[in-house]
Amino acid sequence: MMIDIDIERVQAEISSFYNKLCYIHFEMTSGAYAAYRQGHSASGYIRNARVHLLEGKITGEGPFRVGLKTEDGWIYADGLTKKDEDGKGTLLLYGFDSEGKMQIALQLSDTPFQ
Amino acid sequence: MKKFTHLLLIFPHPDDETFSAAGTVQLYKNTYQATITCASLTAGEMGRNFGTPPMANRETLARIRKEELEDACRIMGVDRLHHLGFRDKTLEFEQTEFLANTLLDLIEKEQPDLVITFDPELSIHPDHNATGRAVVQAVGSMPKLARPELYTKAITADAADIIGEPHIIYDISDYMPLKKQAIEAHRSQALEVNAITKQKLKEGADDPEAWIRYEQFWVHTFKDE
Repeated sequence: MMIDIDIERVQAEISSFYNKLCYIHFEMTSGAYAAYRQGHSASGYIRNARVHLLEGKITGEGPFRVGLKTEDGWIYADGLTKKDEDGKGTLLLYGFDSEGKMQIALQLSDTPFQ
Repeated sequence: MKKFTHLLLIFPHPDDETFSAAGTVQLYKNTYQATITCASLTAGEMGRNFGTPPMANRETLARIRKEELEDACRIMGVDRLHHLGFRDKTLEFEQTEFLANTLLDLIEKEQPDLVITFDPELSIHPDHNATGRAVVQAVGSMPKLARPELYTKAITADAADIIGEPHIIYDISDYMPLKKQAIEAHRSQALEVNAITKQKLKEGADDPEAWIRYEQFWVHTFKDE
C-alpha cells in the first residue's frame, strides 16, 4: 500500500543497494494527454538500466529529493512524496501532482523489472 | 442500425473500449444477439492514474488494470477478451507491419463482421493513432470480400471539420447506468473521467455527459473500395 515517505526508512532502503549492481526504473511524465489539453507535454522513462550504486541520500522536508551516486555518475530525483512496498526489497518512490496523478517514479531492484 | 452479429473491439488501453462502445455493444447484443470480442493491445501499465488514494504502483498497475478490464467486460457482457501484451506507450514505435500482422491473426481467428477501433489520425494519444493505423492496415490487407466492416472513432474536438460529421451516432441513454457501471469498474482510472469531462466542457459541450451518452463512429472506406 502506498504510504507517505518516512525519510529514515527510505534511507535504510537506499543503503541496502550500496555496492550492488541494480536495475533502475526512472520516469517523469506530464501525461500523454498534456499535449492536447495543455499544449505541451514532456515525459520520459528509462526501464531496467543497470547501475552500480555506491551511495545515496534522501533529503528535504517533503516533497523529498533523492541523489544516488553510481560508479559512472549520478541519478537525481525531486518531488517524491510516497513509497510503496512489494515485500521483495524493491525501492518504490513516487511523486504526485495536485490532482493525484503520478509525476515522477524512482524504482530500484536487485532483479529486472517485468 | 446495420446488422452485425460479431463485433470485435480493438483498443490500446483498458477503458478505451468502455468509453467508446459500451452502449453500442448493448445495442448489438439486444438487437441482434451479437457475439462481442474485445482485444486490448496493452495493459495501460504506464498510466499516471493510480487511483485516489493510490491503489497501485508502477509495477502493480498492469495486473490491476487487466482485472479492471475483465470486470468491465463482465458488466458489458463481452464474450471473449484478449490481452495482446504490448507495452503501454510503445505502440507507435513498433513496426506497423508487425502490429498489423498480430491484429490480422486475431481478426482471422475471430471472424468478426464489424471491427471497432480508433481513428488512425484524430485520436489524440499516440497509442490510439497507432492502433487505428494498424487496424486499418490489417483489415485493408484482407481480400475485399473477406473484410469485416470497420468503424473508427475520432476524438479530437476538430474531427468533424477534418473528416466530416460522424456517420453513426448512437444515443445510448437506455444503457447509461450499465455504461457508468462499466466505467466505474476501471477503478484506478476514476480521475480520467473527470479530466475528460472537464476537457469536453472546455471545448464547448453543454451536457457534461454527452461524451458518454453519444457513441459516434465513422465508417472506414478503404482506398481500393
